[in-house]
Amino acid sequence: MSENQGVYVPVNAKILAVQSLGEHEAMFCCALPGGKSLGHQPGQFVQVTIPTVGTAPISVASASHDDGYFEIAVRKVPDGEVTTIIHERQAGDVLGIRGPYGTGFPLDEYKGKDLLLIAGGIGLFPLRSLIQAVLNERDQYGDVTILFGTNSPEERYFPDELEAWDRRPDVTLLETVVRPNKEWQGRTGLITTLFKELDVHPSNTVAIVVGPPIMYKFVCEELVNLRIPEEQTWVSLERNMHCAINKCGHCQIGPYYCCEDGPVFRLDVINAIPGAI
Amino acid sequence: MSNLRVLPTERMADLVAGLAKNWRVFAPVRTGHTHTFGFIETADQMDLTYRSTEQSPLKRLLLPDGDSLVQYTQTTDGSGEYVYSLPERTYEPTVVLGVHPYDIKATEVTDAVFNDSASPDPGYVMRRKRTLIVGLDIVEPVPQSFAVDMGAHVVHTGFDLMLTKLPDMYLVEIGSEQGEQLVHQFAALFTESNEYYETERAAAREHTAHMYTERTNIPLEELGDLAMFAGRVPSLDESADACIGCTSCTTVCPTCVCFDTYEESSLNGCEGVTKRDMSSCLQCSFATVAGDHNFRQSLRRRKGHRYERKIFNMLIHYGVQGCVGCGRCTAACHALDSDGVPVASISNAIRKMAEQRNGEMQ
Repeated sequence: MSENQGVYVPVNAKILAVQSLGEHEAMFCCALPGGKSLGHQPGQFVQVTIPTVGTAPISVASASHDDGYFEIAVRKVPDGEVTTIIHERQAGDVLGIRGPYGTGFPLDEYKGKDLLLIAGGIGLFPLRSLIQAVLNERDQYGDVTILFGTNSPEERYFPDELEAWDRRPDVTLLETVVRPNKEWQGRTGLITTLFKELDVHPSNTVAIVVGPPIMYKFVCEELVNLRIPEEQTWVSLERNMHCAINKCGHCQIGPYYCCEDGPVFRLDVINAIPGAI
Repeated sequence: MSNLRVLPTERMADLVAGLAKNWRVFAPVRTGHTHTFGFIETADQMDLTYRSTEQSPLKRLLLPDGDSLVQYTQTTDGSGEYVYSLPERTYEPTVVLGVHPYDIKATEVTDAVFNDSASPDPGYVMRRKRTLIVGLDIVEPVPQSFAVDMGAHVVHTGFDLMLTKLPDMYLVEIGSEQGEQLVHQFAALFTESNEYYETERAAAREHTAHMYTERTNIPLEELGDLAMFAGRVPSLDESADACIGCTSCTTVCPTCVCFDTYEESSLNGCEGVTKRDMSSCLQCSFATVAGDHNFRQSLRRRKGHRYERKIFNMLIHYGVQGCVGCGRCTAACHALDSDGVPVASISNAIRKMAEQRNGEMQ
């Protein structure tokens, strides 16, 4: 996109629709100028610019569409000026966008495998792009199991989609919440409590983990218990992607730059680096 | 014809005067007891006998704080939308005269980061193209420098011209087409070189190479092997506790290129620019993400991150050496470890990692 403009310059993407996802979360359906496709892979992210305020890395929450739009889901962070103003934007407004950036999920390597897709909290936003892509070509994959854990039933983002996935005979969805309300009739507990229900074929299973920083260590321990090798486990990591073009240094993980070598990493590549997981 | 020329010492003034007509000339000048690079008009303002400067003149010119990356203006159609564009930049063609080899070597890093083919940084690329580098061989290294162990005490590429001070003359090596043009433009000042002078230069460089007292005790090509000791040298962790995180070491480093961006806008918010300042991985908030999660909360970890980046991570990621052994960080550091060594010292960190490796190999 706009290569003649230089690597830091965003373009105005039009917001087509805004969907509230929760108290602090909303999804923005965006279109690039001229109906151009973002051309992203599931798992990639964009840099969203609010002029005079700043820029924030936001993962793309939808699979690639030929119809020229993409979706980003954003949590409004306390004291987060950029995400706060993004949330004030409405259909018809614009957002400064550059990207897509980073590695996506390597779908070709997943084909023919059983998929164990694990999301904690707003980790479901980037994972949704992968889930959509997988379900678009469902016959290419083996068993598809989705584990989703949140703090509370109110943070079950995309409840309609969760129900639709749950209804599908070719998808297994296991959900849990940490703090149930009176209406909640599902499982309670941390996401790690879901693993005892799993019966996987480790040699043919690929695990994908996206969640808050604290979650990875504990989930990866469960994956070890399931005997799923690190070579078959992918994690999407959050870091301070400041420039997103392999320069500013804020997102370094050892020798890797999360903006370019990630955010999607194979676990065996990254696990030995102090502080990575 | 050889790529060497002779510039008699007394002709240096004519060269500077000639250069100053067409270029800004950035050269070492004395400031009190030390030296810095400044813009000069005449040769008597500069001091080519300098031993070191607090910062790299090239990094100062090529990556200035406050560089504008993006500018934006609100449209007048009432939509509230902004139009983005590349900022206008001015940068007068500049000759940097008297750059030491380690600072020339450091441009391998700045080029790899900011002049990469995938996403070239417009400001850096523009300034780099308009900057001529006239190097100057080191005569007497500062005690903190270990450039000899980093292959940065003498360079064979990366300059337009390279000067070596010999008795009554500078031997001048031409390193680029632009350097060739300069020599051509001022042809009357130069005379031909011969093998004797080349031998003299080799001897002078050899003499200086033997003056280094600070050493890493490990061959340069083995630095990458130390990656397996990332975060595994307890004595480095402990010694880092004296560090106060002042960021002096990263500020003076010629290969430290991390940056922050920030917005500057007009009072009515109708126009603004995204700007860049150099940053430091030692700042507490450097690796903080939304929700205030800090991936390197402890100063020990940030200190370790710096060692690792300088010693092998830049090598692994960009394929270029992350430290040139200039010794500036050691000189700038006020925190001493239990052995009395400045905590910032990269040579000390290399030695300790190498000791760990040698111990484990036995």
